[in-house]
Amino acid sequence: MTFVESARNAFRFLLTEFGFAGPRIESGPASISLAYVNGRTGLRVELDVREQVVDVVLVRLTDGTWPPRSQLGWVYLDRVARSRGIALQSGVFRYPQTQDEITDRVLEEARVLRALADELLLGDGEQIDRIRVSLTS
Amino acid sequence: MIGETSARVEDFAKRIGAEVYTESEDVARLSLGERAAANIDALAERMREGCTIYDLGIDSDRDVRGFFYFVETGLMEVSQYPHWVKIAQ
Repeated sequence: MTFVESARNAFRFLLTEFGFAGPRIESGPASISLAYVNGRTGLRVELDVREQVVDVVLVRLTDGTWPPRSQLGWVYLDRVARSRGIALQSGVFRYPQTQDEITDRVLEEARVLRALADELLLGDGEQIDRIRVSLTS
Repeated sequence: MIGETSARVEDFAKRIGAEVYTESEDVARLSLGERAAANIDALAERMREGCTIYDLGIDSDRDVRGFFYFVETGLMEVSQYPHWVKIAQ
């Protein structure tokens, strides 16, 4: 199963339970991402192909568009999870090397997102601002 | 252009018209060490050509550090490359 297939399956609950639209699939020279949108809340599931890192990032959209990546305001799920005392399961090596390990990582990110869904997914973007403040205070 | 988090680097590189390292399918099948070596070879070639190397730095929003970026900056530091431009974020 490819990264896109496993991410589509693992994050289908965003569409069926939380009203998100998507995913829009984007790929660059060293990255693949699935982008979901619900009002002013944007969520991307990303695979950094070069570093072999899977991330989930939450973003408050500005006028329906994604703010530039270089701006502050992209909130990583694993940082939120750590601050809430939820540890993402990972092996000794943080970087998955095989397709199966990437799939496991995708499933783990989806599990943690579900655990934090009430805080992260409900709201019209303002919840992202609250999270950002909580991470910096 | 170098930096942590490929999607972030690609986004910035597109805006300023910079080139990012693209791993070939053959290299992608190699071991981690061999892939890192190919990455460094490509960066060293650009340095021999005198290219400006823009450095977007670490992705401070993310807790995980990038292995390839760590290797790239190691080369830049030990060689004291004069055309290494760190972009303030």
